[in-house]
Amino acid sequence: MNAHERTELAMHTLYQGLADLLGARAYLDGQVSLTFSTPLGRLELAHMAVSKSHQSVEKVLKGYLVFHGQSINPFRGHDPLTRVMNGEGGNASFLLKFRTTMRQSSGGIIHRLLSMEQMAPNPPPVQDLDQIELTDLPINTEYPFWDNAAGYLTSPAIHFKRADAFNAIRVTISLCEILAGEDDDDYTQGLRRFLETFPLD
Amino acid sequence: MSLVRIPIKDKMGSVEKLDELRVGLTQIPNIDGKRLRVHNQLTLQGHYYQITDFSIEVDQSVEKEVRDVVRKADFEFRGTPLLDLPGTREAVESMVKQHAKENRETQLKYAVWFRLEDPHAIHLLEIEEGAFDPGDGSLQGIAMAAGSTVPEARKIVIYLASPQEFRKALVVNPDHAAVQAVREHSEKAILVYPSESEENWRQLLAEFGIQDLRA
Repeated sequence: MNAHERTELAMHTLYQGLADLLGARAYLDGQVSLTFSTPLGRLELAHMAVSKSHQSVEKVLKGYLVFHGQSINPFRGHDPLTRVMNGEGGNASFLLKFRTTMRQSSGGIIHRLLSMEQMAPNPPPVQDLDQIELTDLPINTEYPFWDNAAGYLTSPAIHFKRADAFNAIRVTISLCEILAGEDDDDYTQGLRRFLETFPLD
Repeated sequence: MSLVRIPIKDKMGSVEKLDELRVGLTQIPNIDGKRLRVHNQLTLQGHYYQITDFSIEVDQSVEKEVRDVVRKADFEFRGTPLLDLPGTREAVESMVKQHAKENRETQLKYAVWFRLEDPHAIHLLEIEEGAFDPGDGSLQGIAMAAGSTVPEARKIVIYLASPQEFRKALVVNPDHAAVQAVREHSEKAILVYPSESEENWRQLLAEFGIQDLRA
């Protein structure tokens, strides 16, 4: 892949990520009226907003890293921030600066983003259903999981509520604002135009 | 600070009334820099003007003052404030009670309904322990379709803030409509949660170090 193709891939990844953020807001927009009561609890769409927010974070970050020439494969994994913060990609000056920017960002956003990355669905460590312990099922936005705090099995559509969706969307927008404040290039300009076009109230 | 658009009903008005409106708007304290823009079509009919397509745009922070001037000049708004419609207040209280019950990772402490003049949207500041704090006191709101939750409302705009964010907003974002509403609570806001009462307002104001202007 040459430099031009890499830039094109990065920008497409960014715009797909921004579309995910619009999707998150759209799901929240309909949440109030679209609910369904079941014997296990009330199904809502807040988890969709959390899920789309996470996908937005993932793509915006991957695009950013690809745009800046990093050897991150955007088609692999759902946790680019966790991987980069854990040292993946080495100690190129761009990555050192990126890690510093993320660590120094206000509001504890780094912890929120890392937590969001853990929400991606991963298969349980064992394949045989009989061997799966319900307590091993980690929190995610797509499949049933064990709620450690409550001590029971639940599902994303029942567990995630309005405030979770709001938090996820605001964390995603905060990430976009942080990256948009970096160098002035096509990537940051794309982010800025989006933030200006779709401001929060 | 976001702009609000205040739509005003068509009216046959005298030159004097139009001038009264103009003078009233220019006398609003600190109106310079509040991005005031008046839009209308005027058609002269004898000694009167037929005013159509009338609206005023202005910073949200002075919306109430502008509405007061418009009322004094005998103009009427297009759309009745949701607060004045039967059942709205009860519906908002019921919705907020549901919000208070439904979260595990966040805990609702206060819900304040502000921008009470809005005929289309419910604006709710919800201060919740555990809410994300972006660190800048921006108090951003996210709109949701109202559906059947609040009759007649088109949108519900929730400004979800941690206590830390609201505390910061009081300092760095004093013109935000929610901040102003809490400071001038007797006129501009309703404390929906825990409930509207002198004691609960006093508790909120004390918790955030806000001087009670009515004391």
